[in-house]
Amino acid sequence: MLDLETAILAWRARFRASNAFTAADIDELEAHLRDAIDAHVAAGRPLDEAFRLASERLGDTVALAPEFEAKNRATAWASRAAWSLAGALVASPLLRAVLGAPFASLRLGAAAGASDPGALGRAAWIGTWAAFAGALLVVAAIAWLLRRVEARRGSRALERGVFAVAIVFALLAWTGAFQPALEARFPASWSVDEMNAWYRGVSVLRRWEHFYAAPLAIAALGWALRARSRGPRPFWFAAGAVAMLAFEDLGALAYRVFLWARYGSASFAPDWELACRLSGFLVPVVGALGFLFALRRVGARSAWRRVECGRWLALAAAATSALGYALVHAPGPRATSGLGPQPAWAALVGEAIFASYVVALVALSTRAARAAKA
Amino acid sequence: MALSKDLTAASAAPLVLSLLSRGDSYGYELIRAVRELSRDRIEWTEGMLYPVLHRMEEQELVESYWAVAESGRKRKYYRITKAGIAALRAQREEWVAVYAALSRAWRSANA
Repeated sequence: MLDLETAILAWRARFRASNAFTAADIDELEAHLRDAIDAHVAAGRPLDEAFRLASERLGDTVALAPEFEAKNRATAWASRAAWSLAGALVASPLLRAVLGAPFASLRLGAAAGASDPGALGRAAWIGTWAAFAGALLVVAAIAWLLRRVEARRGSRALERGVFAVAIVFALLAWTGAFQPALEARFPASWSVDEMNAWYRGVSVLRRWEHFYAAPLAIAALGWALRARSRGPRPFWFAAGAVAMLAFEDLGALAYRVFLWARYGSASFAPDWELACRLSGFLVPVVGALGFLFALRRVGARSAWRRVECGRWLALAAAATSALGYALVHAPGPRATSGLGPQPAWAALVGEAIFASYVVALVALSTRAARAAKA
Repeated sequence: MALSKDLTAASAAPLVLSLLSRGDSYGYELIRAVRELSRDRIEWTEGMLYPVLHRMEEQELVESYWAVAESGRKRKYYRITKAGIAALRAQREEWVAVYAALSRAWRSANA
C-alpha cells in the first residue's frame, strides 16, 4: 500500500530541486495534486494508481518548469547564485586546509625539535594527505547527515542545512585566512638547498596534491549530491565548489606555464610565490565566473543539467589534474631560484595565460551546448 | 476536437475572469469548470493555468488568499478584483466583436 505522505514528500522534493518554483507555487500544486487524487479515489481507483495518474496529469518538473521559470526568473537566478556561493564557501576552507597542511606540518615538526629538512618534508607529505583524507571525510559526513535530514524532514530542511554548513565553512575560511600556521613560508634561516631538500621529502607530488585531489573531492561532492536530489540546485552547488577548486589550480598553473616557457622550469620559484598570491584572489573569482558561465551554457538543457554535468565536471577536473601532472614533471631543473623579484609584466602574462583558459572553456562549452541543442 | 494552442492561450484570461466573476475558486476547480463549460473542448493544463493566474494576480486583476476548505484542506483561492471586472467587461466586448464579425463573414460566404 502506498504511503501517500511519503510519496507526496518525494514529489515535492523534485519540485524543490528545480529553481523554477517558489515554495508557494509548490504548496498550490500540492493542493491541486491532492484534489486530483481524491477525485480518482472517489471514482473507485486504488490509492497508488490515483497518485500515479494525478501526478502524471499534473506534469513533471521538466514540463512545468518553463512556464513557472518565466514568472520566477529573478528568484531563480538569486537561488542559483546562492547555491553556487554555498558550494564555493564549502570548497574554499577545505582547499585552504589541504594547501596549508604541508607548511602547518613543517611548523609542527620544527616546534617538536626536528631540523632535518628531508624528514620534515616526509612529515609534511603525511600531513597533507591526512588533511586531504580528513577533508573528504568531513564532506562525506556532512553529506550523509544532510541526506538523512532530507529523507526525514524534506528538501526544505536540506536547503537550510546546506546553507548553515556553508556559513560555518565561510567562518572557518575567514579564520583560516588569518592563521600564520597555514602560510606558505619557510623558516627564515633556511637556504635554497634546505628548501629543495624539504621539497624532495614532500616527494613526487611536490606539494601539488590539489591537482590530484580535485577529481577526488569532486567525486565526493558528486556522490553527496547526485544520489537523491537531482536537479539544478545540486548542480549549481557543485559548480560553485568546482569553480573554487579548479580555478585555484588553474590560477596557479598559469604561472607554472609562464615559468616553464620563460625559464625552462615549471617548478617552484620561492621568491615568486608570494608575488603570485597578490592576484590570488582575483584570479579564482574571475575564473569562477567564467567557469560558471561555461557550465550554464552546457547545463542549459535540463537533460544535460541532470546527468551530463556531473561527468563534465569530473572531466574538467581530470584535465586540470593531467595538466598539473604534466607541468610538475615537465623537463627542466627541478627547483628554480635566483630569478630575482617578479617583474610586473610577468604577472600580466600569467593573467593572460589564465584568461585564455577561461576563453577556451567558454568557447568549448558554447559549442557543446549548440551540439546538444541540434 | 480540442482548441488550438493559440486560442487556448488567448481565451484563458477572459475565461478565468468570467468564472471568478461567478464566485471565488481555485486552480483544480477552474480546470474542471472550463472542461464542463466547453463540453470537453478546452482542456487546460496546470502548467498553463497557474502561471496565467499568477500573472493576473501581478496585474491585480485577481487576488488570492489561502483558506481551509470543508474537507480540512488548505487551498489557494482566487477572487476577481474591481480592475478584473473592468478588464472582463472590455474583453467581453472584444470577443463579442470578433464573434459578430466572423458570423457575418461566414453568413455572406454561405449566401
